[in-house]
Amino acid sequence: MKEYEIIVGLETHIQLNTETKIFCACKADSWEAEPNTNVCPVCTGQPGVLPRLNAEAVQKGALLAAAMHAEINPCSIFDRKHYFYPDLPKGFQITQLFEPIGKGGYLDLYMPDGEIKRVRINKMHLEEDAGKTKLEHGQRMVDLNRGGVPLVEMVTEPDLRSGEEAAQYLSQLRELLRWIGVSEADMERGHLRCDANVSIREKGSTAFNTKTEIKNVNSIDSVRQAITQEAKRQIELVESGGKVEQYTLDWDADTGKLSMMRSKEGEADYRYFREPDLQPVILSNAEIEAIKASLPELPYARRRRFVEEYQLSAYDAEVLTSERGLSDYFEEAVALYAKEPKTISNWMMNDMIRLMNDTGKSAKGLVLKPAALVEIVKLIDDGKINAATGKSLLVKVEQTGKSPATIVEEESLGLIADADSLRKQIETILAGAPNEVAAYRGGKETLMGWFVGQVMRATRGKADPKLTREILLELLKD
Amino acid sequence: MQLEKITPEAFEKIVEMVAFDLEPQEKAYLLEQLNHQLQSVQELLDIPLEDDVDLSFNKIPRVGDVPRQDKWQAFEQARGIIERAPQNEDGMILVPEPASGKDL
Amino acid sequence: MRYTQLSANEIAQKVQAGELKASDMLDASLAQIRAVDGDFGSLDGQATDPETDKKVHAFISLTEEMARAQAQAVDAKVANGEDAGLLAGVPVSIKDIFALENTVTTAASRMLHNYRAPYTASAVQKLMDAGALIVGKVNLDEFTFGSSNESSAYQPASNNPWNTAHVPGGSSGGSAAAVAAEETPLSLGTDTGGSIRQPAAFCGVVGLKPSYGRISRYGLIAFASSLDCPGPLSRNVEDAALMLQVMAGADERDESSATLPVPNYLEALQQDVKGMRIGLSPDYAGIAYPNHKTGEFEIIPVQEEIKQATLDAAEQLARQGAEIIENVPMPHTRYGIPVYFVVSRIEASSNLNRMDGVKYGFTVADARDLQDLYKRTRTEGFGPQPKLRILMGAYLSAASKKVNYYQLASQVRGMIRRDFELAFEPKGAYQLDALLTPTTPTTAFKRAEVFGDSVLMQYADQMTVSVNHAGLPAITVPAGLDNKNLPIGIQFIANHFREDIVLRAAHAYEQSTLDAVWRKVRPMALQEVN
Repeated sequence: MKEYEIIVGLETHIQLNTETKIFCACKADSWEAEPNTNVCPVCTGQPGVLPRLNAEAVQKGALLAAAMHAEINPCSIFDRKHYFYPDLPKGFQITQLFEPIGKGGYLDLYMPDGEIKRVRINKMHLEEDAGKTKLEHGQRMVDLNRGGVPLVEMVTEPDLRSGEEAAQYLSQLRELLRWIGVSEADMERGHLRCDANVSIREKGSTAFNTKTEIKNVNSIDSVRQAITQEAKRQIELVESGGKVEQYTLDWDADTGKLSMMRSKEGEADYRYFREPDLQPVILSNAEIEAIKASLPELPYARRRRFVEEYQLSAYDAEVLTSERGLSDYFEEAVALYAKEPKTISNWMMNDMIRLMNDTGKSAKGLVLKPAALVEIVKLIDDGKINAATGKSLLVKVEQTGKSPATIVEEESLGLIADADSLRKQIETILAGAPNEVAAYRGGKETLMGWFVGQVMRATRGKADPKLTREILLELLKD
Repeated sequence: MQLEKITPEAFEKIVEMVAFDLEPQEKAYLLEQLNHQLQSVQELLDIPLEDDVDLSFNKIPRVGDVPRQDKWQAFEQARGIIERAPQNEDGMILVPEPASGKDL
Repeated sequence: MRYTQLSANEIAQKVQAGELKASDMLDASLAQIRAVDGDFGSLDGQATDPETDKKVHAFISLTEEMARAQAQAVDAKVANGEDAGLLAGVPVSIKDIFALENTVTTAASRMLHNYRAPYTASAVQKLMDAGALIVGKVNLDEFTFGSSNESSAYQPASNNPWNTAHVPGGSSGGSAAAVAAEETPLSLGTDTGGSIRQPAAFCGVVGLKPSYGRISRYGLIAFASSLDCPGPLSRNVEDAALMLQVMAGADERDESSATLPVPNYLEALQQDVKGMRIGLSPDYAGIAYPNHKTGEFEIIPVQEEIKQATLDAAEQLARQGAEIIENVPMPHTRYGIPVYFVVSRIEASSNLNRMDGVKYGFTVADARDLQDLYKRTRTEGFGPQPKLRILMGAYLSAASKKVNYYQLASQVRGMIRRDFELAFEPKGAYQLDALLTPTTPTTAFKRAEVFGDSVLMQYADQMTVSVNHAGLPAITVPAGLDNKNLPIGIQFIANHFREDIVLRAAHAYEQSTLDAVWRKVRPMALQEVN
């Protein structure tokens, strides 16, 4: 058998997380809304209505272009793409063909083996989403709630070489979208949708062969599986003397099977022309610079920096940069702490992530701000509380919103650092344990742990361990 | 210069494209008229074009924001819009299925 | 004088002063409609009136109940000493192409015969807010596609009140006829290639096409989005200024509406034309028309009486101190129609893609499948003119074409606009304030004379269409009658957003001809009833 190379290009539709639709003031998010309740004359294509562009959709589209290292178009223009379908009320979709919001660009994939793989972007434009149709009891029905939701359509060059690479692309794109805050990128809710173009060629060849298009690969697993499966089918077909035809395939995630939707007989004629109801979208140099400046440090850059600057392990850096708010939280705490960043990292990796999981909140949403976390860590460092109290304080601060110091004060959680009162308590304990004292004095020094434990039990853990040990050593010497 | 004419085959294609189903007599009238109009249109092909022409449709001075602020404003009579659909039921617009095997 | 002969401004002032009740004005308007209009246009087109050929047939439907409520509201405001608005108690008819909530908006097409708009057009809302009484919807060419009104699916279509055997022009033919026949002093029309000005000229009334962007298009069922303009039809220039005043201004629902401040147009009328530079162009002396029988372009000169009226108007204005600049070249005027064939057809074809029998309007019962629903709905719902325009637009915008016609036409459109820019350039060779031209090459033609020849019909717009390409304001004002007693219109064109200038020039001309003999002649449709 010959060796084959798999050629994959992905076409993604990214739903921007604006408050309103792209051309009308209806709410963009209809997740739990009844069908056709989030509609108006504009997004249902009533005669006489006009679109009115949402400024936020432009901002978010441009920010995404910046994140993809694309050139932000200073004058992007909308076009009409015509076709008939019941989920498209105007009989045309407002999109961008000739002058899209972004030109060029790429995404650098950080592969598990440490390699960086550059995936080039072929096109990136703003457009409106269509509504949905569904079949129920044999009846086709139309719901226009989704119609007019802002999308960025982004298509890669055929730069991906396997289902795994495609899955990496989608996963890292999803992370990026959330990171820069332009999309919720929840694939189950259709915020990020994907079609894949797949072809094969003999290793060493530079030609592009006939490709098939797989529709609806709407999870990362699906992308990996569907592409792998389709590539295998094509290879087997070619090996057995067959020829790949230009099909459109449908991926069924439930059965894990591909089925043929239709053969493509030449491109449909969409009669594109410039949308005359919308003005060109003008972005001044200053606006473009402002958009670029607002672009946050991207996840991989931040990951690398965490390792270098804070000496975190690769694993810790990855976890802490898995979400932008989490990494911001960490850095804020590190800045306030001014000692070993690793200490903060440990708290983040264990107790803070548990706290977020338990409360269902993101780092940004926590009542417990980085300053409070740092305060708790410092209380432990200074011997004012013990580590266990520190951990319980996290929860208490989150629940009450009070400062750690206040809670320590109110609940007398502070360690007993008063040598006189502690000495008295220890004398009482030693008096009640003559056998152990004798044994210790007789050379069984390992009993020290037992004595400390007794003191801790008697003081319910509030005794300063260092001081306890000092007093014990002194009293047991006699 | 030989003027472009719409052939009956090309005509059938655009009839399909715009979803019409025409009677022969209507076709004859429409095709004839289209070709007369196309004759007029082709006058444009002979014009020496000036290359520094501003292609913007209209000069519309604006002082306010051209794009709209992202503020939700619900349309109150959404249900009424759906009830205007010739076939509707329980807030859904009903349509027949596409003919099998045919892509629109 | 009958109430229906009052101007809109007179009505509003009398109503505001308590001298005339809005309700009485409404009654007078409705009575006039009953007397002159005859059968309203309908889909079955059954005439019940033996005199039907002599009637105006401007209307498709009345919105009497709404108008009654509006009249009562105006009268109550006046009784309370409140400001009842610039158009207090003025009956207005609306070209049936504007959305008006919960009334049937047909676009004179079977396709929308039952379409109740779920919202109101911005221009109509502004009229209502100013105290106007919306009495009803007037006829038009189907989806505004025509220059004679004959293509309306609602028959009988409007006749020309001056001679009911002639067309009123189009597409705002119902508007022009309703105003000329004194049914309403004002009518709201639309102008895409001349659709306000040509019927206004044919019917002897004033028609103003404002600059693109001066009045919101929201709620105007689009023909060609980059050309469409709502605008007033009225019997005198002052009323056109008044109606423009009410409707002009930015609209948050229309991205192409201009946010420029709206000047006081009525005040502008007070100024004379001394020192105003008014141009005449040889390129408006005739129309260049491709004769498809011979394949040759023929120059058909403008009807002699219209040419004479234009020159007479120039002379009138010169006597009042205007400077007349002759021989202003407008070399790209002749390309106005070919460019229009491309731009308007492509946009129209696109705009009508939404008419599919799914969401509203006409639909066919028992469609076999989705494709069948689309095809039969669109085939049965559209008349021949929309079909022709949809097909032409689809042909010209098909991606398979070698030539990108839309881009080519947009380029020539830019050259047409440049002709005007050079003429109006303050430091240029001509430094015009306004260009004076005939509005139409001929006076109103007979019914069925041109209908069916879509090319000849389109060339009737050659004097008006360039203004739409350039987005400029233009007004047509009556300038006499020809030997068949059919009205002649002349047109003033000015630079972007200088509606004040065209209104001033037209007003000065109008005032200087108030005593002209032709102004005493009444339209034929009115002679018999009034």
